[in-house]
Amino acid sequence: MKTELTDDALELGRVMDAALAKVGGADLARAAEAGTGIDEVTGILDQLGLWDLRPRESAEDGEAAAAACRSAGRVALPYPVAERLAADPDAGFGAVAVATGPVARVNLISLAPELNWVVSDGRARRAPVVSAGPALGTKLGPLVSEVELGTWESDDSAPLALLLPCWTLLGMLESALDKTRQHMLDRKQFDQPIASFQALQFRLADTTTTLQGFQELAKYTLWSVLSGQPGAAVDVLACRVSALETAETVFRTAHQMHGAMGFCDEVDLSWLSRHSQAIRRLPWGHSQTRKRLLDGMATVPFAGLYGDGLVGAGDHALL
Amino acid sequence: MEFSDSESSAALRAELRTLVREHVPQTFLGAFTRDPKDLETAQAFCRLLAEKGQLTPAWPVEYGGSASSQWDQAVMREEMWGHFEPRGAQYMGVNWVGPAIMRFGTDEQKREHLSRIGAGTVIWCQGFSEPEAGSDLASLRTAAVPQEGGGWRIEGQKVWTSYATMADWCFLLARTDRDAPKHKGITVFLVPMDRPGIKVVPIEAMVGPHHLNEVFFEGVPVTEADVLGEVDAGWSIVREALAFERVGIARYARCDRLLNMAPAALGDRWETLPEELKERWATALIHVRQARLLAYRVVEKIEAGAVDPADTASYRIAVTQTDQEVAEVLMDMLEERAVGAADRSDLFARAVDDHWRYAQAATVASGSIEVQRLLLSRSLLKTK
Ligand SMILES: Cc1cc2nc3c(=O)[nH]c(=O)nc-3n(C[C@H](O)[C@H](O)[C@H](O)COP(=O)(O)OP(=O)(O)OC[C@H]3O[C@@H](n4cnc5c(N)ncnc54)[C@H](O)[C@@H]3O)c2cc1C
Repeated sequence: MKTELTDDALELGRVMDAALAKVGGADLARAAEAGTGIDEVTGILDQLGLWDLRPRESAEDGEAAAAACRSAGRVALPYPVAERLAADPDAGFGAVAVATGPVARVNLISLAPELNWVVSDGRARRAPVVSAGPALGTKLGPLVSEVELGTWESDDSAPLALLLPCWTLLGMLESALDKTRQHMLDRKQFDQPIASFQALQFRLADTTTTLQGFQELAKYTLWSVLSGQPGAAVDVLACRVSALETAETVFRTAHQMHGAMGFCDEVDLSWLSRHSQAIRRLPWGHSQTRKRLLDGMATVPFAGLYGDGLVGAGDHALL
Repeated sequence: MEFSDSESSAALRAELRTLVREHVPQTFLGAFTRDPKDLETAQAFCRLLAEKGQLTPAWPVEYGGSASSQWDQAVMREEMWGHFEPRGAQYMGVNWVGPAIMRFGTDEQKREHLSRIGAGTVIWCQGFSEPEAGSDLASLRTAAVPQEGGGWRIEGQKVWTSYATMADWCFLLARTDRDAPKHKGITVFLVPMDRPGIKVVPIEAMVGPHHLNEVFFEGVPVTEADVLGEVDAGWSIVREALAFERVGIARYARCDRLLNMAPAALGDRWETLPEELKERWATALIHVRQARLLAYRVVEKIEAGAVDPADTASYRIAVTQTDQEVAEVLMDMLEERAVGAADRSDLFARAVDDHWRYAQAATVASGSIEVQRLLLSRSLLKTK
């Protein structure tokens, strides 16, 4: 049993955090909405050597890729890091996003349209993006575009393409809760830091627990995918369910504890919260993801201590 | 990363499952029932584990253990709780009373107690809580009144004392100095339950028999030889002793087993359940997996020597709530059988019934969830 990322992956995360902080952190997202700053971002990512990672070939690279996605999430980085790391340039596509539904929508594509994007159906097929519309520019999906697809073919990108954005979201949640903790210590009301109120302390404790549970699950699922466990296909759906539940909890706590200030674009929380929406709603929200998980469990084992989680295949000792 | 059992853990898991299959009847749903046979089953199983060297594997070799890894200890916790704790009340002696005696006991006390705990032939109870001292344990009032010529007499009352009717010994906290600040002046006494002046009164409760009792102490004589560690140093001993049991019960293991069993146990009725309930079932499986991973997070930190009470607290917050969530999901799945199995052979319904009742206490027993939240938030909000 070893439940922590490799030292190399952790180190890559630290270096990337520092590099992004140096050029403004969440200000990069502010710039991107204004249509600037993308060269600075791509310059840093190139320097870090992210695009040499081959998560499909090496578990170590996969762990490093996850750490990079998490760092990108911490500042709501306006660049398709997860989408690029989940792709397979050797197979001719440089970025992959899962999209279903009548109109395929893809986050962040307008920032790197040159990457030979494909869309995965979340199962076993992919189709090339033949054209991408402009970014929506909405509050909750500022960098999302509608795309047109070519012909479908078979594909095995789905596990990584679903999982790596969960790691980006993880970074966003860690950052949002960190800022909330600091705000609790800084903000005074009734002549004391709001951190002194038990109602808020308990809420912080509960939200932290939820986040830690998701952190551990994200690592477990990464291991499952990278080591090709028999349950990987449902594990990624379970991880996404947890990611969405946790995002709801963390952002609700973060907004509540920040008071009115948290809704202002002046604070990073607002950017993290808004930019998390594209990951949380696309390709599927909470209920749709959970339905897919349950459907998947009919044929793919959800491994536990007792029974393999196939519906009906449990331990029969008590029957 | 690697999330599967090591070879040694996998072998231990297989061995424990075989022992349970061969020596614990399929109908066993825990030692604490009105049927004395269940306690006998547990006692016999403990002796068997002791013979196989599997009752105290975590203990140092010099005390008859095998200094097993933290991971193997986690496997032991999981397999025992997953199979309705066939060690009965023994886990208490094994998990923290024994280690506390190793750490603070005199040679005489070690001789007296360790081999018997290690052989699985003695039951301990924990005399901490009192009617006026719950979460604020340090406000306990049970007094050790000094006697002329040495020694003390214990006067007072303990409450919620699990297994007191069956216990041979009590790990008792009493106040030796009334004038000291409340965390000082408390002493640990190791007291045999058959000493004159001790009266045990069982409490009828929804959690079932044996879990809750009152214990009255009327002029119970104790001497220096019964003191564990130093007089007046009881508080720090208890804090350290309970830290031996950081992870506590592996509640997630039984949740995992019952949830996995549900579809087969429900048979045709599984298909008729509302989709929404099946989705809650799937979500509960995710939460159970997360609780297990949070336990592993603590185990990894203990192995690295870097565990903090806050780490245990977040695990406990997660696992106790998951226990209750799973209980609700399973009860919903039982439909009309949830109010009681009509037939004693309906083991699944009885197991769920038992799980639900015991889960109600998960967020209260051994440090309430609010106390865990205090511990965790204090650590998070420490200014760095
Ligand atoms: C099944 C079971 C077995 C037990 N076995 C034993 C045993 O063997 N030996 C033994 O000594 N004890 C035992 N106990 C007792 C257990 O340790 C206590 O129940 C526990 O410490 C809580 O104390 P209390 O029940 O008096 O609740 P209280 O302390 O009265 O708490 C009531 C409520 O107030 C909350 N509260 C208290 N203080 C605060 C605070 N500062 N901030 C916010 N909320 C607060 C609590 O969290 C709880 O929700 C057992 C209990 C149970 C349920």
